[in-house]
Amino acid sequence: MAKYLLQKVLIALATVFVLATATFFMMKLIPGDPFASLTTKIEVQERQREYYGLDKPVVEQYLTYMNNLLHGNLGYSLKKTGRTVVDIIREAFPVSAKLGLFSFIIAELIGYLFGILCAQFRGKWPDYLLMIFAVLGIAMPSMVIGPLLRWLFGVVLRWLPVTGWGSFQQMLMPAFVLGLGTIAGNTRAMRASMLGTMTQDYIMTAQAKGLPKAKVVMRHEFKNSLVPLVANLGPGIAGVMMGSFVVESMFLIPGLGRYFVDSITNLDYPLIMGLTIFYGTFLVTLNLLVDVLYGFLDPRIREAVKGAA
Amino acid sequence: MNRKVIACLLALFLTLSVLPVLAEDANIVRIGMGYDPNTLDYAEVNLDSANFVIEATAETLIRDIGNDEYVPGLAESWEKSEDAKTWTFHLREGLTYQDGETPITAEDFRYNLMRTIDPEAAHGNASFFIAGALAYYEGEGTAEDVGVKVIDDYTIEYTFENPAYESTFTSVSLFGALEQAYVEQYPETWGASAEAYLANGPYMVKEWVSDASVSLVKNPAYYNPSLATLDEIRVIVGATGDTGVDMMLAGELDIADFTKPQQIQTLTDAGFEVKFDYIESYQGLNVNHAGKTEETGKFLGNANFLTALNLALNREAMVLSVRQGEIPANRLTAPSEAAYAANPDYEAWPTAGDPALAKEYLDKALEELGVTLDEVPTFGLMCFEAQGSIDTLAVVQDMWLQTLGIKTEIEAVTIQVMIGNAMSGQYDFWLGGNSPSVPDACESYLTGFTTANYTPLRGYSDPTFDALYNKTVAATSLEERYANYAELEKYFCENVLGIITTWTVNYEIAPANYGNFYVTSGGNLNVSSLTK
Repeated sequence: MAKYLLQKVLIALATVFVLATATFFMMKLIPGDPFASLTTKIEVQERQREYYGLDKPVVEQYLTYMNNLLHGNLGYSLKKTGRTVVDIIREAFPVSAKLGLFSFIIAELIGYLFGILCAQFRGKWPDYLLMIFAVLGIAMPSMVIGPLLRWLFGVVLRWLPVTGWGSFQQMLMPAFVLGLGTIAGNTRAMRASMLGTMTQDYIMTAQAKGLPKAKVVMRHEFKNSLVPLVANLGPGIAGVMMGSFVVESMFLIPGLGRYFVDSITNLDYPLIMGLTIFYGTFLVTLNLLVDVLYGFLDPRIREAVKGAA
Repeated sequence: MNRKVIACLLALFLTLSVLPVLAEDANIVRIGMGYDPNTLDYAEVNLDSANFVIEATAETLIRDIGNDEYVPGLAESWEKSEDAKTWTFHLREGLTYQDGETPITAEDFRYNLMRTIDPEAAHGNASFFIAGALAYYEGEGTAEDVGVKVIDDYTIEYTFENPAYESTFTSVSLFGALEQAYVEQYPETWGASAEAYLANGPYMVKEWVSDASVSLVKNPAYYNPSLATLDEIRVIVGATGDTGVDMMLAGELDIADFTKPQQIQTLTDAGFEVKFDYIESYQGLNVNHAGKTEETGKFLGNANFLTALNLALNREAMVLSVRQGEIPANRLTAPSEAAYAANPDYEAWPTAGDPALAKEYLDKALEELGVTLDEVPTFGLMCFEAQGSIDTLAVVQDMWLQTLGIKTEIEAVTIQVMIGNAMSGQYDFWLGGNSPSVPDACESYLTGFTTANYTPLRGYSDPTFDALYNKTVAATSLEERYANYAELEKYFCENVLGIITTWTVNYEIAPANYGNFYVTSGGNLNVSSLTK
């Protein structure tokens, strides 16, 4: 098992290295100059490029960057003067992560519940109703549903704050909007997986043993239907925890989402690199954890790893 | 059991949901701003939100109280030389920064100026009005040659390349006070957080949550406490546009500026008032007089050709269709500028355009250039890849084609590419805005047309324009300056150095009972003495 894990860690490190290198050179291919400005004097713009080392050859810039990266230094943002990339991530990531996790939990619980109900009532009105909801959830973008909810619950009913961050109430609307697509996706995926599981022999055995319906559903059908869905957990969690530009902008949440867009628009090179490396590392780490989790959920994988060792 | 759990969860949710939104303290004012200030470093600050915070927390030698009126700030008096190039300021004695201990002295002003123009630091706000500053920046002069001199602890003298005015001294980048020892505690991070910022205005920064909010509270060490009437000013980042409207309607925001008529209507219907409006920018087509290619340059260097294009635009129709909420421009200088008041009757072109006259000018141009209409090349229309910009250019494209038969091609690019292309002269026309400046456009926009500042940006070099420009900035009084500026503006408009289409207007909206706040002549919102 240790050898298996070591192998996975080495692959993860190599992935991050390739990601950082590819991002660096692709980023340099984006046309434009971060210091080009119509209001700043030409002399000043030249000094700024020199100050940040952007006047040096790209390969030299790359080597400097990688050397700094190995020392844990992601540099200063070019646009948020005086703030390091690490500071920005340190402040914004917990906000996005908290919102994302809350949203993810809601989305998983509701999505799985809806999926189970759809499968149990296959071809009947609850199935149709929930599938319509699932299709709408996937089809309606957050930039449409968000303002509608904000207006209804914040302005008309005044049940929830329109914007802001810090309280439980302020999390509800953005978490729901952020998780809507996941709820819909999970509903469909759980329904399909469960329908496949329900036709298995062991389900018929469980029913024949006289187990109560609820136990058959939760202990046998649901648990076994979960295995194919676990594979999506890593990228799913990483995706929502990294923030959403649209949802965070709409509800004024100081998370990481907007930086992914703003850093590219502003050609804030250190921030683009820092965010990509952070996201990449986070994603491969979660995938690694999911691989391990897989082993716990599916005895066949555990045995295969043991056999290989 | 399961039913009980679900019932409890539902009850909890409903209880939390119906709790009212926390009522705000009556003496707090919440202001919506588009962006986080990013930095409060005087040498780097460049966003409206940062300027707003600095307006409330950092005072300069002279205070700008709007309507082109200036009163003593940290300086209680001053005198200027006959040519208005040398100004001597006498500081108030006994002033301190917000910590109540660190004294403000003349040396702090000298340090701030020298820090901003330090060539090693490459600060974004380095500018070179002060005598010897540019030479120092380019390594051709010494720090001692820069025109700033500390006479004693409470007296400082500035010498300029050209005459200066009271408005010159409201720039915190050059004329604010900075305590060197404090700044040097934060060599890389000065101005990036509430802790790394020490100022001297009516308010001070209490808390700054990046990309969320900035809270300002009264500065107990400020010399004139009566100017600070609020317990707290809270800047809410991102609270503009539709989000700002919803927040105001829900009672989460008090003041914000809006530009769209529908948003303004919604808020005024709900009982809010437009407290004032101000011109934020001149919008229009920047012209590359040298052209993107030699072929287009031949036409764009011809004043009659440009006049034809200018007269073919129906600006009133543009405002009705794609530039809603803006004002059709009939000259360069906007009505909110002091230079406009000095020459209010001037009208450079009809806002509805003049198609017949446009055709006459086109015929003249073609004759001068010795070509027929079929030989006129297709011109590029560059803009930022936003739908509003593309729509605007589509209207321009249609008007030029329908009225004159001139063909164009729209090129929508990212903002950085647009700036890069503009700076390197890779465009024929480029849609963009330019902010008004104080005392007039010679301080920013028009500088780009002078031969001394010739870059590929405008592709323009003209001795007559240079002479008029230099005469304007050499004026020793504002009256003389505005008179000279009127000539310069006329030359700009008659030769169509740029095609100004509209003026964008910001409408400041607040509850009906709010008063005593304003926009400074420099364009910063000031709510320090707001009453309600």
